[in-house]
Amino acid sequence: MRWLLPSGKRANGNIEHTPIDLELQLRRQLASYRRLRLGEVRERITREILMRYTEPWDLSRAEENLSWSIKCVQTLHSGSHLTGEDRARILMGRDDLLQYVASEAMTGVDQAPALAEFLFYLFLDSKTCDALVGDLNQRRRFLLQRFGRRQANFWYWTQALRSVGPVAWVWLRKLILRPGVTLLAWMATRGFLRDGSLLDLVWDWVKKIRG
Amino acid sequence: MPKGDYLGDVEQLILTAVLLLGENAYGMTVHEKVEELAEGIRDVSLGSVYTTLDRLETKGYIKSWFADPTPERGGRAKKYFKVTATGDLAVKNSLRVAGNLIAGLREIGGVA
Repeated sequence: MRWLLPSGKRANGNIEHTPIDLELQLRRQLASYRRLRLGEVRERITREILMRYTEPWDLSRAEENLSWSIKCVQTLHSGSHLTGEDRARILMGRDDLLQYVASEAMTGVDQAPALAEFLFYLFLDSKTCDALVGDLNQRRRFLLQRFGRRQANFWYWTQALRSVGPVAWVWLRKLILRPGVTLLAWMATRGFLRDGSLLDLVWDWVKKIRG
Repeated sequence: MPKGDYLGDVEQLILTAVLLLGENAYGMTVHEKVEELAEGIRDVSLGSVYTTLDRLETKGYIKSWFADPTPERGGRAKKYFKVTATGDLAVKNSLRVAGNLIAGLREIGGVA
């Protein structure tokens, strides 16, 4: 459970948690899970569940925890706040954290279309790409809450396809410009651009033909 | 302003949006402000906003920095922008030119 312990506030050497601290911690936890590979997450969760639920009465508790966890994850992902009752329950039993973070990571509830995100990674540096995708995610979350997943994903794809054109064009221009400048510099050092050089003769010949 | 440093229409729009937003200027808010300013006249995608902001930064008209990652953005950081003194001057010059054009057109009754 080391990787799930909430940070909380420290008072007199003891760790204390307020509901808001806890919710922030959970949101952060969910965000960090999105960056993990699914296989790795599944392995972790399976290990934790095997360690915790060894008795028969524990299995029914695990099932109940799982359905409640999924509900909490969906609430957090839609941008809404948890109820006071849910927060209290999380505060009472730390292992519940594991359940609902895990269920989110394993089922991929309400994740943005990964292929649309990938388009930006092709053409942008990682930090700017993260900022752009973060902007899209932020807006998508709002739309998800208001119109539902299908409309939110449609909007996300529309924005991604509209945005990838200008980004790809700038990337392509840079790609062509750099070798072009290098070639010109090389030609200048080799004397290809001097008066009377081969290139100069070719240029005169072109002008004559056009004239 | 040196020759060749004129702002394009999208550059002018985006620079103005960053100026208007002040401390809260990051990709999505800039995009929303641009849509608001150019409503029904110009359609600018979020990708265009980012590429233009990048170009403006290369020209020295704006500067940028990254904030801490936030959970509601899927753990991704916001990239904030601020207009530099050079950028401020560029906007003012652009607006002055636009003002002159409007004044000229008004003289011949071209603009109400």
